[in-house]
Amino acid sequence: MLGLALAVFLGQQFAGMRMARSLFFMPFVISQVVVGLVFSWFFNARFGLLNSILEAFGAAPVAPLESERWSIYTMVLAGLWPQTAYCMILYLTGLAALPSAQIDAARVDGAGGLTLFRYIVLPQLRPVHFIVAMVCAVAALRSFDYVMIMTWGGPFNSSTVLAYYMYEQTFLGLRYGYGAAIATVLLALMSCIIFVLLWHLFHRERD
Amino acid sequence: MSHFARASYGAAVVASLAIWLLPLMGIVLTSLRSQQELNRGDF
Repeated sequence: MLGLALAVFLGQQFAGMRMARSLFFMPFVISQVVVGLVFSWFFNARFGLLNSILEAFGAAPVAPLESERWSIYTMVLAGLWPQTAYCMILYLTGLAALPSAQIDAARVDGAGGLTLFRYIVLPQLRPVHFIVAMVCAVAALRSFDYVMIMTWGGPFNSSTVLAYYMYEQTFLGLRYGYGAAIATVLLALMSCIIFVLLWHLFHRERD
Repeated sequence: MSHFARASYGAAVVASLAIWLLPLMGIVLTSLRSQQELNRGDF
């Protein structure tokens, strides 16, 4: 949704928009390890910018990476940053490929703003929604870097995900068989998603 | 599009870009250390 909102927001033709789009896309180009480090720094309880901003507004400092409740959400936020940029590019491509005749016809019929978006643009973007959902699901399943860089699965395993659990069991717990079993389950889950995606694309091409 | 709408849209793009790149700017803004902090060994 954030990617779609950004794509609609940046879909206008203005001077400097290419530059703005490139800057919005930048988080996706940066390595995931660097993104993890950037967010670790941002949320750092001692010198992070978040606490500096809170301090400026007179609020009490927070330590989300050291909180059992909030650590997973901070990682979701870190993961959202590059993923939103990627989805934005997918949606921008989808928006550029929309047939302008239909939009013009809808405008002639009196549709405008939200009506046009809800009944003309959104249905036309259905294939992009599907690809975005699949790509995001696979990205969520293989998220390992953020956990490794930001929290090491802690505090008290509150931010452990399946990929990190596999690493932990295999290389820290030396349970190679169990680690291999987790890897197999991960592979099966991702294969299901990829199969659905390929099946959908194949049927669309055939139609 | 009117001149006012264009100007507001440009301002909104710049503001959203600043928020979008806030985590990156956070490093620049919080990594500068004063002489006293460096002398204390706080890098």
